Amino acid sequence: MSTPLDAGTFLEKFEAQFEELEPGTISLETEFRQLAEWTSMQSLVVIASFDWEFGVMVTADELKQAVTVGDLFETVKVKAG
Amino acid sequence: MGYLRVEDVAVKGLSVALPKNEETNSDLGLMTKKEQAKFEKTVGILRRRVAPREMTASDLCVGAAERLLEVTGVSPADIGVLIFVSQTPDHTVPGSASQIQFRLGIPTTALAMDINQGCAGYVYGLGTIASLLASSASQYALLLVGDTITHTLSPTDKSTRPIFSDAGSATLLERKSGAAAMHFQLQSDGKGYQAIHIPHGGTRFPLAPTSFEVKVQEGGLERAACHLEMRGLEVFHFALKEVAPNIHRLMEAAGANLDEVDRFVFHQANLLLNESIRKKLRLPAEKVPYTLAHFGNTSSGTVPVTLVDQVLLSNPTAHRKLCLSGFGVGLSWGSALLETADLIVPPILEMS
Repeated sequence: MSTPLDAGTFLEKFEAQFEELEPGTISLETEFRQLAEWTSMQSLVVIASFDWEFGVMVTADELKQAVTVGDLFETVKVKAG
Repeated sequence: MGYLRVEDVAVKGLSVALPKNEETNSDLGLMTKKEQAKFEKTVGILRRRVAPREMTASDLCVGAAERLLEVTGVSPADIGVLIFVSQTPDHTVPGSASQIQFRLGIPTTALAMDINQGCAGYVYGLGTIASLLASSASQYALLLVGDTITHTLSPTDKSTRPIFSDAGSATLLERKSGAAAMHFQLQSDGKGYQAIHIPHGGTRFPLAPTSFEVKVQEGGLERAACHLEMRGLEVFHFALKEVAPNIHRLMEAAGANLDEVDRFVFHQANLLLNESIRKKLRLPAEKVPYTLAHFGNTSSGTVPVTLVDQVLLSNPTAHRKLCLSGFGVGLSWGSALLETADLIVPPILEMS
């Protein structure tokens, strides 16, 4: 990564993976499993986007442990170095 | 090192057989309209082929083989090596290859054996049979790869039922002096064996009355221990991590580069995953064909099905450099780099 990952960029990219969300709906406190669009298939979409957008692989266990969008941001940030 | 280099062996022809019976996502009634739209966009599967209960992978492969021997004019008597790659053999014991040898009229002097491989099965099988043929005195070898994996699914498990499909294939190889070398990069990691597995029915956990008890699993999925289970997220992560580096290693070992390759034929797992792999390798979309939409994930059959349907049938005789890649159950994964020309490829056979 040429620039360090900031929360704003992460939220924007994360939100873009959902088709039915209005921009600005998601915050770091959002519990992503409570989103109406969250399904097991959406988890694949999100994992693929982390890899593509940030060059980071999030494992099934890491995803399972995360509750909020902020938890995912921290995981991705640490891995992106 | 799982790198193999095989010389003086070429593919002569390739044939595919599919069950005629087709099933759509709507036929299943397992998903809401919204779920189905998301599934079709993300996974990319609209229709699948489902074998009737009495049709096995060996039946499809034998059908494909009979057609291939007929169009190539090669006599079963000239085949010295026969390999059947499948996770859905006719019986647990014995393997199916010997019965196939008998059914096809291949002489008893031929070597016939089974390989238990799925998603990476075509690449594993091709590497194995090419190596055996190169060191044998026979002129021809026959590789049969296919699965009727739908026979192992829970009818109400929406993590597997809308994905898997059935197919069989036959590939005829010949010894040919001066043929371009084939290259294979084969890998495995049994740590992830539970990512795709059938818990009961082997000798570790033999079938018992409890094997058939359907239980509601995490996410509301319904299946029993005798059914195929797939942990989608684990498989997705594995393939995203391993497939692209495996292909880079193959190219490095073969002294080739990605630009030289005419077509990349990947295991048809799921559109999002395959497109992610394509983008990681920076491959142009027109070099990476798909059959997911109409034929689904036929397990070991995906590579030959896609190769025949989307690459070879339109012009079998053209010279091509191909990269094949399979990844999944095992966990096993591998890739092959080979050149084809003047192939004999009959139209897809539909069986009922």
